[in-house]
Amino acid sequence: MRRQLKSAAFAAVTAAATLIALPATAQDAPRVAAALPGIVTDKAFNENIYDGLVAIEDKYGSDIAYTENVSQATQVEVMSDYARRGYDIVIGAGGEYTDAAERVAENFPETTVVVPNGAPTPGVTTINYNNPEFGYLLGVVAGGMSKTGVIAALSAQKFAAFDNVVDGYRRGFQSVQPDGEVLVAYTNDWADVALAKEAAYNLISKDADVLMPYLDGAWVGVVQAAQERGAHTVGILHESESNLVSARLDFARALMMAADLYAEGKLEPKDYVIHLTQDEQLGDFNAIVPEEVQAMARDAIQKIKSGELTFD
Amino acid sequence: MFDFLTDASQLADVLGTALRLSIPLIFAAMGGLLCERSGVFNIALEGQILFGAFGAAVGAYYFGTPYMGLLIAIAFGALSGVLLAVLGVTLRVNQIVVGIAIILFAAGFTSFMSRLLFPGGGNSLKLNGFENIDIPVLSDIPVLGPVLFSQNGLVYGALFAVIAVHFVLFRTRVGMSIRAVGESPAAADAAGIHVFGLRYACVIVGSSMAALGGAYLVLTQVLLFSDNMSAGKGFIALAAIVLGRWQPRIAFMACLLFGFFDAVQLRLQFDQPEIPFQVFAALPYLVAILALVGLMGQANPPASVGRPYDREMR
Repeated sequence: MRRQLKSAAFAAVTAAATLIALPATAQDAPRVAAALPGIVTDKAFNENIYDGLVAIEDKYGSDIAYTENVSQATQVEVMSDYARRGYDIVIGAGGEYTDAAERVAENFPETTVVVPNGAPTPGVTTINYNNPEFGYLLGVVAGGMSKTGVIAALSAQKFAAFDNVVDGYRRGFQSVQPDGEVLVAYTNDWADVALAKEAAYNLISKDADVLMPYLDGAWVGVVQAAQERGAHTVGILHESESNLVSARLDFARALMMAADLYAEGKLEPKDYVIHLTQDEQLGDFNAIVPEEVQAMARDAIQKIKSGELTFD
Repeated sequence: MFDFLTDASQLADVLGTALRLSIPLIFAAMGGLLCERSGVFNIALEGQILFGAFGAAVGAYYFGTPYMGLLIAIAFGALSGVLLAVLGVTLRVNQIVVGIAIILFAAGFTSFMSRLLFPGGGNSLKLNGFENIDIPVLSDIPVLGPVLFSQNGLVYGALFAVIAVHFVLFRTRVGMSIRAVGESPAAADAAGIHVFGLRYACVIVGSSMAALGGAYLVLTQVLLFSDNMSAGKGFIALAAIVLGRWQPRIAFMACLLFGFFDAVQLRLQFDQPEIPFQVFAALPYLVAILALVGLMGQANPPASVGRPYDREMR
């Protein structure tokens, strides 16, 4: 009897505690969950998305959740699970989630499915930086620094966002070195550091002297190879001191924008494009970048902001 | 398209890449081969590479020397071997299931622990690794010199492992016992060979060898630890064992083949932008299938591989 009383009392206390705890997550605070292709400590894309989640938690007191290392085969399941558990915003982090996101959005109309860096898809909210603009800036800097007239870009997979970055990168590079060549290589693995390093060695031996890794954890391998063989890197998904300069595709900021819109009830299933509007979207220059090259990049930013240079 | 084959410095680059990409495969394949020759399936190679990589990072980070990294990598490999042997040999659990369990455990354990043990996660480390050793005179030979004779100790270690496994298996009494245990443990037992002892020894040594493949990745190639950095190498090593018909020499060549085609595919991609890169990425596997079908004929695994031995069974 005493034991029963005890457990009844325990249950009552738990229930009361739950009731008290509830108001802490305010009614309109969106519950946000993300499926990530990699790990939140990769100092690149995944970490950036994670930072966005934390920022939303700080601002709105939201309940946030995430799953790391979600493979292509389990994307739909992981995202559906979050939708079923009542998360308001479910994020498929990266362009490779577009197909899965479309299916989840169809099955869970109550849920807002967000794909940063995704191709425009019916029913899905995609948020994209205007990739060619950022690629262009890096291309201009590479053009000012390359001695061989050959630069390179590396990714794990071929997809729209990367292609667009490379288009801008090439255009920017050729605006400085009209006969310049841009090599592109794919490693098929976002996290294989050793393979990325070997791929970078090979690009360097094909005369590339500025490399742009568009990778998750594996970017470190590219930076190592460049340092060993006297080449340079420019950053787009990761920022590091060894880069000549990094374009800041700040997806944490993009997610915050989505959360703000959601809180106002204005987040729609459409493609949001973030343009280059602020100078600090290009990071700090490495000290080895000469002043005239920095000036060229700043000039390009002005031209893009004023609409003199467009990429549509 | 194949201009890199005629240009000496580019050829040296491609061959160097090929060798570096093969080394983890060679360690893992030799370790797995030893286990399978003794009659134990070791499909946990993938997890053991990861354990080795993690152990190497822990050792090199906390003691500041790659030698401690090597030692702790071996310890991690041996421990995973003990686990496989206890479950798969003594307790007679299905060895495939145990192997998968070890792979999954390795992935979770290493990524969790790397966050606890390394400030800022494993991929911001800059560990002390092994330096390349230039062998005098030989390293000056064009093309082959820099590829073969200007590498670090672990590369020579991998080549030594191939010779050692081959020698032990086919030139020593112990090797004959190992093969007997893999073919017919009951007959070997009747002849007075200690079946369980030999299987334990092979699994523990083989697992440590696979871990060296991970140590190689960390201590010479990238000098940091990142999650899942084994990236499927253990499975390719398994394919190399089958492709090599459980013969160390042929399995070694299969590893080189995989490494070479991986290197070539990185090369071909940017020479041929109009061909989808997936075609080149699939190339090593296509070669493996063709080789299996065309060259090898029937593969003959050790007769008792994967079957736990039970003295009471008839």
